Amino acid sequence: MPRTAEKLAPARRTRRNEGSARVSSQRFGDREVPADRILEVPEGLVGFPQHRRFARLECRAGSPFEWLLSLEDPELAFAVGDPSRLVRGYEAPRAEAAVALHADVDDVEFLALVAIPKDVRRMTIDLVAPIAIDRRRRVARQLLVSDPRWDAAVPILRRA
Amino acid sequence: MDGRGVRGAGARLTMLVLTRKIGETIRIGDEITVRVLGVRGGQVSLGFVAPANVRIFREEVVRSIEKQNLEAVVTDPGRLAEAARIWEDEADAEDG
Repeated sequence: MPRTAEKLAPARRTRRNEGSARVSSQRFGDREVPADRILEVPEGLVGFPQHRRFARLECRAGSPFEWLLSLEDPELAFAVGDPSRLVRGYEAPRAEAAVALHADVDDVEFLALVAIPKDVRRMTIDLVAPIAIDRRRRVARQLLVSDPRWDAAVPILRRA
Repeated sequence: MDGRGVRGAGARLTMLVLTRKIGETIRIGDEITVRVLGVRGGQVSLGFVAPANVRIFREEVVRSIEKQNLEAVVTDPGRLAEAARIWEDEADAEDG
């Protein structure tokens, strides 16, 4: 059985933030994740349908990079980033996301998956399948965007 | 009904096989309709009517998204931290 993050003592749950989760991961250590950093992804990410709850962990304070840590298995994490901060001129598919999430356009935000090879400077971001988030309900969905301007491996650094 | 179940490679996988003429449709559940629009050479055009929250992808597109998702799986958390640091340095250099 996968280790789940939900083994928090009930007393703790009431004392701390309602709905927060305690995550214990070999690589990310023990963390208390507040409810507002937990995402429900009802369909999972493409290829990972069994992982439906994720914790958003900040990589550095104020950084556009984050980790998405599976709460079903805290040893599985994805590198993600805020595409509007990482790609100049990026226009997020806000209207499409609002429809897909049944959310208000103003509540929609985006993360995109980041691939970091050994040569870190050659990191890329996937703008074909961004993760749209309804920040009010904290529900997310991976979209497929067919916009010829963006591909699945857009370089993040201009002088890679 | 002219559909028939066929045992697939996996013991629990079955495939329903239906034959349709151009212009005819197939209903999947209550909300999804697939119409055969035309056949030319070896290519079949299909039209889909489905609620906006149903994802309809070409199989190869799903495979490529899967592959890209796999690329983003973190093997070494230190690498993203390094990426973040490099990115900040570059951003500062561009602003300065």
